[in-house]
Amino acid sequence: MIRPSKHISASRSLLGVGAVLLQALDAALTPTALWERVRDHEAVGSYERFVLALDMLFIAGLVALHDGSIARMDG
Amino acid sequence: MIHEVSANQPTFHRVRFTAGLNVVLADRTDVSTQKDTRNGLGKSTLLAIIDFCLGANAIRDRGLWIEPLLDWSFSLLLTVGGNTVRVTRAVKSPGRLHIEGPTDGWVRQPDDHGDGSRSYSVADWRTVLGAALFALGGSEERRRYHPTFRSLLPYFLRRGLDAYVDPFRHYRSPKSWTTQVNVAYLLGLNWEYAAQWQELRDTEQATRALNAAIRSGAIPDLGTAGELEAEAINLQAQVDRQSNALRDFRVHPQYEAIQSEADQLTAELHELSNQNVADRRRLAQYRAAIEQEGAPADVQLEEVYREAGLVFPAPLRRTLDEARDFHRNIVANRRKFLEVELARVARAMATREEQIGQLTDRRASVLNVLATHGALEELTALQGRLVELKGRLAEVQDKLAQVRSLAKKRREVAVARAELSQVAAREHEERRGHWAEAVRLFNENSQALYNTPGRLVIDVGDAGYRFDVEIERSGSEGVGKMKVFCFDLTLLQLWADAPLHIDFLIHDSVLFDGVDSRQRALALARAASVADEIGAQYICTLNSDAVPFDEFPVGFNFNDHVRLVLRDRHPSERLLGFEFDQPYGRDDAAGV
Repeated sequence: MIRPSKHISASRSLLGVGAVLLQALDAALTPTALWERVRDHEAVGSYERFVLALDMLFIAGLVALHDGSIARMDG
Repeated sequence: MIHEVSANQPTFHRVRFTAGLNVVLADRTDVSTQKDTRNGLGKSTLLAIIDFCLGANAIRDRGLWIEPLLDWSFSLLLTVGGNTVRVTRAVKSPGRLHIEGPTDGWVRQPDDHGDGSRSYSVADWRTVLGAALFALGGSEERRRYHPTFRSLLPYFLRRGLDAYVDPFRHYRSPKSWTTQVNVAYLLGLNWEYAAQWQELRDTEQATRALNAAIRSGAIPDLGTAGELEAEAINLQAQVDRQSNALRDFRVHPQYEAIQSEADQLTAELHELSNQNVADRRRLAQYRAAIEQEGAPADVQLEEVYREAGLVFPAPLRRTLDEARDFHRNIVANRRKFLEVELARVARAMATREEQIGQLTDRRASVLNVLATHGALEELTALQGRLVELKGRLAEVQDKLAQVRSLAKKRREVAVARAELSQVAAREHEERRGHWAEAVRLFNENSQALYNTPGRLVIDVGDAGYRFDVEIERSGSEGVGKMKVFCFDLTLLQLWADAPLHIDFLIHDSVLFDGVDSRQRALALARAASVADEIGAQYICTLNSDAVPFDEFPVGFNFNDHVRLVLRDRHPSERLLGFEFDQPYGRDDAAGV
């Protein structure tokens, strides 16, 4: 599901979503604020995929949750 | 009785008159043309002077009141009203007549100037003469049309060519009422009927003129009575409606302020309503989100975790448990967020609903005030309109009254006219004895001249009195003039027995122009005998070449009656004794 396969395109895979989220996180945002920003992006699709993509980014150590806000972890 | 005519200048030919026939002869030897502007021998001037002294109108530059005569004053010695007096009137101050002699018993006394001189104003002198010569008492003036001394005298002192054309008038075009009233008075008929006929004629003429004006459109849209009635009713209805509206009208002094409050409330309500619409949409969105945004199951998370281990090069930073915590937080936060938002929006909407309710109520009551009140301008406009309507109504009612009174007037005039004719006819019968005498005398005079009957016709009809004279010698030369002669003589005779009466008759030589010599002779003889008989005085001027010496009856000595001969061989032989240029021609009877 993360990686595109012959059934799922790259943009549609969670990696694609994650990319969009990372791009949107130029500053720390609450999940709701982030969702409002990206909900209409074609790559994102549903709230379900949004959450899983966030989870993925978290697992990869690319984002963290501080005081209810999600921020990028660059480095 | 006129005894003497004199003047203050020595060149004047003083002339003395007696009872009976008096002749002033004019012996013209000089052949002069019509265009001659010099004064004549003085025939018409003599009459002018007598008239002047009897209170004639004095008009500057007319008659005697001319430059060459400015230093002149003329006198008359006469017996009138039981007194013999000398009256003097100056040409340049004709406003007063000086009087010498007793004035006892006269209706007016002269003004005393303290230095022994006394004078009359022209008006007072006329009053004295009117009473003494024509029994005018002053009560005649209660009628608009009435005889006066100056309107009656000319029948006994005819001046100018136009005065000798018709017995009943003494100038060219008198109004019919003048003739009727004066001749009726002189013939002893009821002159007031003549006056009343004229008054009716006046009313008739006025209503006819008004009617013509209405019909010709000079008085626009007067309309018929029916049209005006309808319009009046219509206007009255409008006036009533307007009055009612006015009565129910309540002015609100802050009308404008209240109006803008209403507008403001409307704007606020709109705003609130719009905001609620937006919020309702948001509410629906949140509800949908709550339903749709199902959280992904743990299974999927584990799958993601496993794949992440494969995908990402570096060892995974986070444990599965940490991932699970993270996941749960996000989902839980989201849910809470939605629920909070939902509540908040719902609350906001409720508050707004309440506000909307309050504002709506407020606006309703404001609109009610506006609906039941009016602004001051509106009131003023309503009042103005009412005033205008009332004005138009009054106008129409006025016109209606006019139209109605017009019709009424005409009916009244017709009735009055019929009544007057009846009454006049009746009284005419009663007075028959008197005017029949006039008819008899006229006939006698006519017989004396023409040996034919002469008829003095006196008729009473719908148009008033009608007078006519007929002498059956209409072919004969100058009969018209002799009709005048006979009529005038008749008047003199008719009045002779009255206690107050005129006792002189003066004719100009014009009377004899164109008359057969036989009639001339008989007329003079007749005048002499009548005057002697009634103790009156007949004065005439005559051209010497018109004296019919051959035709006079036996025993009649013409020369005994000549009082003065005027000649033109030398200026001093003219009446005034000198020659001058008359600015307005010779026979000027219009002025003095």
